[in-house]
Amino acid sequence: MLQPKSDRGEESPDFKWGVKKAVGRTDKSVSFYESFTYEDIEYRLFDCAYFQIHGQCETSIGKLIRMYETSAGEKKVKVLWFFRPMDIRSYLRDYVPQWDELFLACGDDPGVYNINDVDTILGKCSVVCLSDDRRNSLPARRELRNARYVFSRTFDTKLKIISEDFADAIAGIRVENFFNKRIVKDPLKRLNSSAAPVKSFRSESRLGKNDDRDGKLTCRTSPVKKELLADRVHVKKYPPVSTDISSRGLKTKTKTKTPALGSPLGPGSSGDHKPSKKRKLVLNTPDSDYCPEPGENKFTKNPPLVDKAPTQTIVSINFEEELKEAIETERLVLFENLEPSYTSLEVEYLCRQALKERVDAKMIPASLVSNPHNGRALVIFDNKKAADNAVSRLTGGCLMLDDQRPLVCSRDFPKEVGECRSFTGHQRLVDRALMSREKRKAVSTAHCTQPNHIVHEMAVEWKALHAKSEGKWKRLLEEQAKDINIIFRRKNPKNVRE
Amino acid sequence: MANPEEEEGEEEKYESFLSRVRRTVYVDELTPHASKSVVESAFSQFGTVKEVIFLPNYLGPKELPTGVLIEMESEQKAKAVIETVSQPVRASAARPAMFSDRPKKPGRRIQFRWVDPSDDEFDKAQRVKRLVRKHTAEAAFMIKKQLEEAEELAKQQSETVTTHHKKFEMIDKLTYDGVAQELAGRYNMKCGPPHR
Repeated sequence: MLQPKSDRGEESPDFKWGVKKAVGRTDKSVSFYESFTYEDIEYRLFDCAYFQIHGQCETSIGKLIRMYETSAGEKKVKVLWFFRPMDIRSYLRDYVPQWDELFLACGDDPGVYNINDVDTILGKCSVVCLSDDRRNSLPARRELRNARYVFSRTFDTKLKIISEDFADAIAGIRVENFFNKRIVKDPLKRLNSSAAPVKSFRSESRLGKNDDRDGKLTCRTSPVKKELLADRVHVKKYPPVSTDISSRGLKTKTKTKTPALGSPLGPGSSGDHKPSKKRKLVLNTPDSDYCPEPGENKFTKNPPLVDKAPTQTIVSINFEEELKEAIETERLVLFENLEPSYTSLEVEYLCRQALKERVDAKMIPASLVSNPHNGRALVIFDNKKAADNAVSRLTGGCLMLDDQRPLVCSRDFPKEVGECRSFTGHQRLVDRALMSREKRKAVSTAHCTQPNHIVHEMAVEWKALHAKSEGKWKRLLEEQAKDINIIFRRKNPKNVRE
Repeated sequence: MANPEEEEGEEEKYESFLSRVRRTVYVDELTPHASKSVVESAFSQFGTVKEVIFLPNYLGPKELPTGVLIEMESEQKAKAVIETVSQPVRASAARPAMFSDRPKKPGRRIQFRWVDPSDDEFDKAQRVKRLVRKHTAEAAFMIKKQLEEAEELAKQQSETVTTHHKKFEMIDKLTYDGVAQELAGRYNMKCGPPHR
């Protein structure tokens, strides 16, 4: 896509400039560029990368704020640094940084940025900004998942303080460039950006240091069921692998593919990164992110942080927002006729295997009026096209699940999904005394009403109504089960569903 | 990672999940205004409430009353709740499918296959699919009807209650004003002293 504009002789084959941006004001032989490709990785302006600085053992992470070639043919980048918590540990004071949190350098000190040769770059790094600053657009769930690091604070190298505030410019660059860019949902772009992080993981494996770090985190068995999510999240970048999802021991399809996964990413290590990221997710951006996994108590094994209950409400709110968005962008599909005991993870796994699509799924929780034989799930695809494809494949063809269940998919669901606004069965009365009694009726139930109490009569009527409805439901479900059985009997006399 | 180890781990997880299910009560027909703390305190009269989970309503009509999962500390306590709780709130035993965060069933492998249109099962499968859709529609209709019935009943009750209330008010007022006593005197009937 980009023409190398450099008219120098053949440089090192690994390197190619991208689009030329400008020419130096004072020195016309200096050319500034918007991007370059080095060792098959494309770096654009304001991308983040790992640097190997001579004399330091740990890699440094910095943002490329300028890239240029001098008249002598030297390819340089101006890098604004991120600090790891380790680097500034003496200045952290009370602040407890997240596991993969970085701090953006700022201030008047010369250590804020450096000019480096291009060959100090080890690989690309995805860093995402979680700041609440109004100029920052919080990352989408997908971006957050793809990101290797996050940052939400700056560290002033001169004053040695950590701050949540971002000045208007850092090192002469407008601060908007440091925040997340508002990315248009372009599938092509997404593909590109997801390709790069994959490479960065591969390059990580070359760095012994990083591996060690990962190694320290590896836990062999993951008691937490939500590690499955973590693994799944990472695994999605390697489409053939479905290692640790619902069945660690799944031998069938993945046998041939597992060697490909090899070493770069031990499932354990990735698992450990992700739960912490999800931790962060909840704490910092409750409204823009949602954990696709319906497991609300995923954090139980990551002490000490998040409480069970609050997490859960946050998660469900987010899913509803996701839902609304998905309906608008036509990415939502309803799956029916699943085994009701399926979990959302299993549905996602199924989609990945059968449809080769990455999705977010949520099983609809059962209620007294839901069909005990028919499990339903809401599935959100990545884009409309994927959803369309899936729908046409599933309706035109037939995906058969266990126990002779063909998967039914549809796109009809009510446009307004929301909280219940009115509620029948609660009376508003003028008399305050009576009114409080009504409230109590709703809430406290062990007050056995006396037969002469007016409430008792009403309660009896409701009970009768409920009994009637329950009876009707039973009949309906029986009829429906019979219908299905008829077809199955004709299909295969041996497999009759109970 | 050895298979049997994993399997055991899964089984254990599932078992503990099941025991959690047994300890949990599913309550519905609860007012949406009830907050978590209200529910907790209401049910704490039966025993310690370990957890309260509100079930999200993704698909259903807006008016469908909220469902709540209330985990008690033991199975007996849960049973006690189910038996005692009366209307219009409804309590029943929870089912595994109600929990969004349930673990998967141990030892289950997701299997699937694409059925070719030339396969003779294909036709039957398509029929089943249509049937499933029909069932969903039926269920939705049923829910709608039930909601309507509930509303009917509520309206009725509201009218009754208001009428009763008016009557009581009237009687109260009369007694307070002394009118009732006067009338009683005239008709040689007994009447209680004014009370408020």
